[in-house]
Amino acid sequence: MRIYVFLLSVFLLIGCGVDEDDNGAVFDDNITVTPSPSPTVEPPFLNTGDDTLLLEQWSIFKDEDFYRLNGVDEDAHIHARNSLNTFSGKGIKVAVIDNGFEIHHPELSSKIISTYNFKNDTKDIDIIADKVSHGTAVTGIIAASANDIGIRGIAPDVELILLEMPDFLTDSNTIEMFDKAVALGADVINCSWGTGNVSDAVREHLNNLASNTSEGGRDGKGVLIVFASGNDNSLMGNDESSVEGVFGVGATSSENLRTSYSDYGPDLDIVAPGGEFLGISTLDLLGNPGSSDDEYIRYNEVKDGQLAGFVGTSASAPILSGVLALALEKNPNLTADDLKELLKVGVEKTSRNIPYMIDIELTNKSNPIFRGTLGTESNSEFDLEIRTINGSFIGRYSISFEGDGTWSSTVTDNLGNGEYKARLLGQNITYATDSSFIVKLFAQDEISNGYSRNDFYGYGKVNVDLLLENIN
Amino acid sequence: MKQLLILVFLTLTLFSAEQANFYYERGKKVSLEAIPSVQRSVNNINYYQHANGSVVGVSDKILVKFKHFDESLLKKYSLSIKKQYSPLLYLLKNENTLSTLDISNQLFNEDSIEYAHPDFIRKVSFR
Repeated sequence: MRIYVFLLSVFLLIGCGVDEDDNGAVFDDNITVTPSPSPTVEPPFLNTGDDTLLLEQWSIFKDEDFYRLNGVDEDAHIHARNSLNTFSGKGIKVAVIDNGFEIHHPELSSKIISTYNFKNDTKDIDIIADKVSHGTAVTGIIAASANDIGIRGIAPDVELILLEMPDFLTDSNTIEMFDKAVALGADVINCSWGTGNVSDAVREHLNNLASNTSEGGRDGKGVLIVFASGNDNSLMGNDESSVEGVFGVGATSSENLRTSYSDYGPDLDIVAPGGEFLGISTLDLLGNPGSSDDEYIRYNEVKDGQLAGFVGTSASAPILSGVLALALEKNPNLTADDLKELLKVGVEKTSRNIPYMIDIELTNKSNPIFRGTLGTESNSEFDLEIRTINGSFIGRYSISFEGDGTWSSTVTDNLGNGEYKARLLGQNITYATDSSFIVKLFAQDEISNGYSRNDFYGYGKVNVDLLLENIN
Repeated sequence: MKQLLILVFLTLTLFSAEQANFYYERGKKVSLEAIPSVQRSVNNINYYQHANGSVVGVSDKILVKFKHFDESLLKKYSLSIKKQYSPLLYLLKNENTLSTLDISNQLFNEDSIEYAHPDFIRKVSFR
């Protein structure tokens, strides 16, 4: 899991030289900005279950009020309206290889059919003392019950195989973990982790288990193996998520952008929501030892004064795993290759301009500096977005300027009361370092590291209804 | 006394010989940088760093995929079978005095071997 806490965390665009009109547009002497248009209205969503936190599950559910109040892009969700009313993963076994499973969680406990602990080679994975909630959060995204409490998983009726893994693995351990998952009957295996280096033996073994051959899982149809691509904003390289037979999943934000952290590259298969400003609401350990003080991690979770939401490609991978369970429920005979081809058709097309996200880094709070890199773009349009520290949307504004691809800005005036004035490539902005606001820039076009947008985004963002419509 | 000196010399020569700092992956050499011995664990695991900065441990175990099983190689390299994962994929234990990297690389060059590499120990990153 990546608990994404911005280094700069506090900026404010208020004060000298900045005015706001009746529509919320912000002006100063050098920047003319226009608020983004209001999102379109969609009819109500699910007709099953009434989970109390469903409205904040922006990744699968578009609640008009939540989207508007939090500035969520109207297409940020996975377009599952029809599918989630029809399919629930019934009859499909999903293995989660992870750590920190809350097997007593009321949203999960009834669907756990097998467990195994590779730390001590027993079936006991009760981890209350460990205070690690990663596996619980991952599993909740897949399988939390559709009922009248809490959140809803993508595939709430799957059967769960929970495999507790150690922090250090030998290659032979890895092979044995996947063999165990397949032996226990897994149709889908979710892996929200990676090592960054895959050996020949592990690569071949994963490909064999995923293959439509006698060595494949699921009685030779091939087990579906899903890996998170990683959170280092770097090329995936020789990672488990790059293995040919594996589904490698990157992360998008509530702005429907590639997140600033998501690893990328030509081996990325697809992206799904992983959150950035807004996290993915999911399950936590019971009580307060986990990431929250109760059994849920909220989209805007704060614990001990720190942002504690579940954010990362760890959240994106189980979204795809849940979606694949729905697909197998509709047609259990689909192979991994079949589904990879179907995903190419069933994704949200990337003709929509998905910007390359840029962070503003506060390098020195006592002497603040804006700093960023724009990839290889030299003349760029930007969206400037302002949120509270808890992620609430304040506004998004279009600005433009020319540059050489990198930029920085130093403080030109200390206005007192914690407010400073700076110049950003010739444009005056004002901010306060002790206020509760976050400012982010998004380049509206992106090329970086020689990879095209399609390489960044694989096939594009998963679109569940389209995917299932194309399955016979 | 002379025989003893020769024995000591040969022993020192054997253990001071430069050990391989690479292995084969997809048929190509991958370089590793040995991490100084002061940082090594005491349980016969040597640690190396990849070019991407990740650290791997190497114990006495080797993963070997045969093209066709050749039992004579077990004796030739002082290897014992620990586990078998598929008809031709084995986890072997290195009983030799040579390093696991050296033995793995020599196995890789045998005609009956498809690939061979240490049973690397890796740190998991939860994402």
